[in-house]
Amino acid sequence: MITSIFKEIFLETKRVFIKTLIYLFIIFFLLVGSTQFAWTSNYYYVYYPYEKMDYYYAIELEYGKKNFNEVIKISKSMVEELVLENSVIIVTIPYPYSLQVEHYKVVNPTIAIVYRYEDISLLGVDIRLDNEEPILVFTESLSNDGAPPEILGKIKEVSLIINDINISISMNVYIHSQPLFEPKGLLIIKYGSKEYLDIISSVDFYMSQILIKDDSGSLGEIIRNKVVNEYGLNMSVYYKPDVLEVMESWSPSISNLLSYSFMSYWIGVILGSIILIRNSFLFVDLSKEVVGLYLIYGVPLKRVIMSFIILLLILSSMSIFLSTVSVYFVFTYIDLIKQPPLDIFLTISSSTIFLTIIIMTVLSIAFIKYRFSSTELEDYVSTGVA
Amino acid sequence: MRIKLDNVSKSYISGKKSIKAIDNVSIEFDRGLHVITGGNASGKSTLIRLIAGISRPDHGVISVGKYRLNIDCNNECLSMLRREYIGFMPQTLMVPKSMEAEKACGLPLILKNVNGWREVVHMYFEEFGLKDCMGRKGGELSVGQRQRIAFIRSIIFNPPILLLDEPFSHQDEDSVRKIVEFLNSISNDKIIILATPDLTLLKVYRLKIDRIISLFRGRIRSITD
Repeated sequence: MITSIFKEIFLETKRVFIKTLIYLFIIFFLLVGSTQFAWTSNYYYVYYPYEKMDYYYAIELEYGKKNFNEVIKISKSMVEELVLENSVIIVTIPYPYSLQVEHYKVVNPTIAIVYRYEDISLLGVDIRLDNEEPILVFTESLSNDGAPPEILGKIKEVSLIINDINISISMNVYIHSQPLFEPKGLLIIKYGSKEYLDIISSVDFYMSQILIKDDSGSLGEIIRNKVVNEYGLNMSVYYKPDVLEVMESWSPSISNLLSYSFMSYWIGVILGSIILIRNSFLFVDLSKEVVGLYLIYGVPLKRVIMSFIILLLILSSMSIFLSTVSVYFVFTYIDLIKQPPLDIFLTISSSTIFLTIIIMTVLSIAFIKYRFSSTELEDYVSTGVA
Repeated sequence: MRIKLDNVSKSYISGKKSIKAIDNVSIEFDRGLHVITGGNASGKSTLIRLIAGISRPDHGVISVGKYRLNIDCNNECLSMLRREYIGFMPQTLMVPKSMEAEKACGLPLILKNVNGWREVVHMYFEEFGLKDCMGRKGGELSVGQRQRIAFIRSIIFNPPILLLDEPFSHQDEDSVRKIVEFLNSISNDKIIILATPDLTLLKVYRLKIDRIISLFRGRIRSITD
């Protein structure tokens, strides 16, 4: 008697323990996977050659609500103040704004404006001294197959010594989003030129990015204080090398899609699905026969709706995600869009998932309610057909 | 718990005609096995459906314990009764084609959030020779198998009342014998109402019957203890 009671207790404890463990695993995988997934998808486009530097600060100035010129001014003064020896500042300027050299008059002493089109081909370099004619100008349009060697050769080593600040520009140009710059100086980069605006208009950037190399590791706080407190801008600072490695890894490739964050996300989804299918996933069948049975035993409507929402959640996220990734790769490999930004695709994908879920949920609830209210139990039991 | 029908009538419309399926029936059911018998269209199934709360009477009162079904109970209340107190096996509704056999059978347990409902279902499947049905859907099963699953569904949550509408109609000898044995073993503790047109079969298999109620055209023709 006592043995059987203990046996019962042991079996029950074991069952609950295993079940809890499984649920914890699922939650862990889903949380870790989805947070990493979301996080990496936001910042994938930082694809500069970080590995050459010890510490980086990727500062994103959100100028969406600010006047662009104001932000430029702020960037400019930051550039002025923060160009330290051995530090690198890259200000990326979004394409819709045509930079005028005079905006940077005070960026003393040198401005390099690099025209480029989506990391594919270097279109030109225009380096000027303050108020002077450009000392180096390359404005030739290059084909997508690559830059002519003679131009690349000229660009590769541009070195100026002005006002005791050593600024040199060293560039490597590759096709398809390989590192464009190996900068050792101050670069102001402009995306696109007039004739390319149409082509790249589907790609939008809302951030101005300043990357700073800081061997001492202390510059981040100074910049943060300045940007947030003095200029009142929103700013995100990322400075751990490993963080940036992950960002960098998000240049799209099959191996990245199979990376840990994705795998853990999908492991969570698959495990969750198995558990749901076995246990809670019981009321998604809405055929008339089944609804009749539900009505006999009074299956609560909310339980049916919940099952449906869970089903929709899993199916829509899986299908939309997979189709988005497929489209992305198709676009990439047939060269319709040069290096489409993955974050835009993922944003569209996640927005679509949410929209789909909302619409489908509303439709499902309406359908479930209709199905339940329109089934005549008496007829159903009498004839077996609702 | 007791079941009481007081001057209950129920009519159906067939085409332009009104057919009286149950005509002014008054009867009470206590613990024991009650067999309702009669020819075709005598009102056996209608009576079962009325007690199960599936159909509502045109006149009269049906009481199950403290509940007056057609007066006190809305649909939710009736569902609750079928979930908690009344094991109901209809004649036609068995296992939906698209539904997994275990799930169709274990539905009352699932709704009661019984952990390990599948194991309980499997136990009954083995007892009633349905081992082959595990993991299969309703559409893949024979009528006899589906009927036995519906029978198990009606008893699986151990209800105090059992309403069985022609439970042997598609069963082979071995299955009838098992069901009869099972009913004999529980009939002292429950109110079992079994509708069947064929009393001979029950006698052959020695079903312990406490009372036989014979219906004819919706009226009680005789009651034999």
